[in-house]
Amino acid sequence: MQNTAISTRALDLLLLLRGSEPEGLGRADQVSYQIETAILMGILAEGDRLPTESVLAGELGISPITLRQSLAALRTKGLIETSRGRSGGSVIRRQIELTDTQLRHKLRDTSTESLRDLGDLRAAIASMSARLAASRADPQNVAHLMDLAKRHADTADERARRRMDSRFHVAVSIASQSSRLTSAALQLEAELMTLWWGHAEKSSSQSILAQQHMAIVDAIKERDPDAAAEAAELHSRSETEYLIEQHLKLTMQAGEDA
Amino acid sequence: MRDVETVRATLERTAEAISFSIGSVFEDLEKIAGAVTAAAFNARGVPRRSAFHFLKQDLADFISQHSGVIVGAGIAYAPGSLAEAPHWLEWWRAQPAGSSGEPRFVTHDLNPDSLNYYDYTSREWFTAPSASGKPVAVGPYVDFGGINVNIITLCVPAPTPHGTHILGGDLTLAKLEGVFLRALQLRDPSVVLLGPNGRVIASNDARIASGTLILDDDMRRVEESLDVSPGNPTRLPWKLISLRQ
Repeated sequence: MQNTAISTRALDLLLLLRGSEPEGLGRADQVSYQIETAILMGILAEGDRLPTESVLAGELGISPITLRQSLAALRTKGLIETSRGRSGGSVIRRQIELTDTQLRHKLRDTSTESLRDLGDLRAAIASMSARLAASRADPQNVAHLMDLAKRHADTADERARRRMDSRFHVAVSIASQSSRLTSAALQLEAELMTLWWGHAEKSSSQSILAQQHMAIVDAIKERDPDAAAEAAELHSRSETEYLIEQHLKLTMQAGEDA
Repeated sequence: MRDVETVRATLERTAEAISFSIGSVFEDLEKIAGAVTAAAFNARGVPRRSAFHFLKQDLADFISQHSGVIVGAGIAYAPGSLAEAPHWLEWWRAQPAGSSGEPRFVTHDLNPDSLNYYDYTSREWFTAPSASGKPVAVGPYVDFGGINVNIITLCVPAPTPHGTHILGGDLTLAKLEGVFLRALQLRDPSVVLLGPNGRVIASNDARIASGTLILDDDMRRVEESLDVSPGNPTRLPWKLISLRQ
C-alpha cells in the first residue's frame, strides 16, 4: 500500500487539537492523545505518513525525545508503524474504533446536564462560525462544504457518517477564517466522537439532519449571515436533543436491568 | 381515564423513591448538626475550630454512605462565631467514582478583594436556612467559586450560642437524574421534576433539559402535579409534573 504524506491542512488540524486532552497528562501523553484524537476523527487516516520526527517535533513545539516517547506509546497500541531508512518514518496503521458498548456506557454516564452544557457551547460555536462563514467563505470553501454535506448524506456506514458530520462542522469553522473557533469546534467534535450516536433506524431523523446541513451551506452560499447562524443553531439543538434522547433511553434501560 | 390513573401512580411511586433517598440524607445531616450544636454548648467561651474536629470524620462517613447522590458536604460557620477567623468554611468533595480514598478538602477563596471571592454569607444556601432555622433543599444553582457545576444543596442549620452554622450536602443533577429516571421508567407523557423557581432538576423529555427554566408554554400543559415530599414540603420544595401532549 502506498503511504502518502499528510497534508498541511491535516497537520494544522492536528495542531489545533492541543488543549483537548484531559488534565494532568505529561507532555508526551498529551501529544499521543492529540494524535489519537486526530485518528479517531479521521483527520489522520490509515496509510497517512507523519512528517519526519524533527519536523513534527518542531511543529508540536516539543523536543524530539518527547515526541519519540509519544510515538512509542502509539506504536505499542498498534496505531502507527515506524520504519527506518530513507523512505522510513511513522505511518498510521489503523482506524480507532471504540466498541458500541464503550460508546453506550459513555453516553449513559454523561448526564443530561453535561450534554446540555456541551450542546450550549456547540450551538454558540456553530452559529457564530456559520454567521462569519456567510460573509467570509470563498467559493472553494463553499464547494468543500457542499461536498462534505453530500458525502454525509450518502454515507451508509454509521461511524463513517458520524466522522463526516464532524468534518462538516469543523469545515464551517474553517470557512469562518477563525482559528480559535476552529480549535474550539475541533475539540468539541472530538469529545462528541466518544459518545454513542445510535443506529439510524429512523431514516427520517437522518434526512432531517442532512437537510439541516444543506440549509447551512445554502445560507453561507447566499451570504446571509442571519440565516446561516439560525440554521446552524437549529441544527446543533436538534443533535443535542437527539443525544439526550438516547441518554434517557439508556439510563432507563439500565434501571430495568438492575 | 385508566391512563391518567396509571401516570398518577407512576408519579407517586417516583416521588416516594426520590423523597426516601433525599430524606435519609437529611436525617444523617441533622444528626451531625445536632453534634455541632452540642459541641458549641460544651465549649467554654467562644469555641476554637478544634472544638469541631470530629466533623472531618463524620462528614467523610456521611459522604461515603450517601455516595449514590452526594458529591460533597461541609459546614459554613456563622460569621464571627470562631476565635480564629471572621469567616470559615470547611467543605469536602467525594473522590471520583472508582478511585478510593478519603474525600478531598475544597478550598474557597475567602479574600473579599479577589475576583473569585466566595462570599458564602450572601449565598442562598447559607441565608435561607439561617433565616428560617429550618432544613431546606436549595437549588439547582451553579456554584461558581465552589464546585462550579449545577448542584442542589441540602442545608441543615445548627443553632449555637454564637450564631447559626449551616451544614450542607451537595447533590449533583447528574446523580439525581439517575434516581429519577430509574424510578420513573416512563417515556410518555413528559414528566418533569421541578425545583422552586421553575428550574428543571430532571425530566424524561430531551427538549426540557436539566438546569433550564421550564417554559410558560409547558406550564400551561400541566396535567398532573404533586409534591415530592407532601409530609415536609418546606424542606424539599420539589414537584413532579406531567404534561399533556
